[in-house]
Amino acid sequence: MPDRATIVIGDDSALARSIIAMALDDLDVYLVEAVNGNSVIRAINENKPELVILDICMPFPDGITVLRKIRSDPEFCRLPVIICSVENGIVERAEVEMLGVSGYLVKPLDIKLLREMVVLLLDGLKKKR
Amino acid sequence: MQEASFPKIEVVEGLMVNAMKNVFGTMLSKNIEFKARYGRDKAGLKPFYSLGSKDPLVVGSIGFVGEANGMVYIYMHQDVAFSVAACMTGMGEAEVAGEFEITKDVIGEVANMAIGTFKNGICDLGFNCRVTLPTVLRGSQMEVDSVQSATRETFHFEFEGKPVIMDLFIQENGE
Repeated sequence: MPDRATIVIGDDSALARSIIAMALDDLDVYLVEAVNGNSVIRAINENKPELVILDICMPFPDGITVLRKIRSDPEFCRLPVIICSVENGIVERAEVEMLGVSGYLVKPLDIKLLREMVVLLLDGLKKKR
Repeated sequence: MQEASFPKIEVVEGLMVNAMKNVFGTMLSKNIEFKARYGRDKAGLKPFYSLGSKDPLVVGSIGFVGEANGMVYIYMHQDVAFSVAACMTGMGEAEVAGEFEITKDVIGEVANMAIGTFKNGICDLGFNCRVTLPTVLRGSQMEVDSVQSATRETFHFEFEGKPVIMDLFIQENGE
């Protein structure tokens, strides 16, 4: 892992992306914003991030489809993903948890919790180096 | 096998009020006050009329589909939408008013969070459903009507003394 971790934020709302970016403002991380499912996939391929923060209700394609694509790619199948979504139905949660995520936060976001989750994950990745 | 009975309107009201208070409290650190609920039998009530003037409106809408189906429209006057957008983004109201994209994004996300929270409450009652992507409309004197089979309930809130109307159309699957 490089000294400065890269995090991809995938959310179609500029407000949601800016709230997440603000939550991580004081961390030494490089943030890449993606506005839909395809741009999340592109951002992951191009930036090889340490972490993805992903919304579910997104266009082209939705977050669950993106997560499925991440998990089916041998290069990124273990990439940590935190879901940040309004979606909290049993079916969607079960599907996401079966695919494997590092965290699941429901909007409106508890930004302190998100920050703590990101710090813990990045610390864990550093220790594994 | 026993059928799930659809929640009473008082339960739906509680979910809607909690969702709005949660979103406004968390995202804006401000209170939104619930004033009243009107059923479809309330003669003459339309969200546009209950807003009380012909100033331009901003309307966020989002649907939910699954074991319960519906649409929710959040009506507010444009100046209220600018105020909400300014508060959420930390920008000035004049700056927000000059670039509608900002307000559109904020009202879309407020609709997404409020109706998503409401919908999650409906899911917890045994009616699994998913939200659709939000849309935002802007204009004057617009109104939406429902098909007969949908239940319509209108919730009147006030944000900083100004009306914010939630118009809910809901239909249990198979109704």
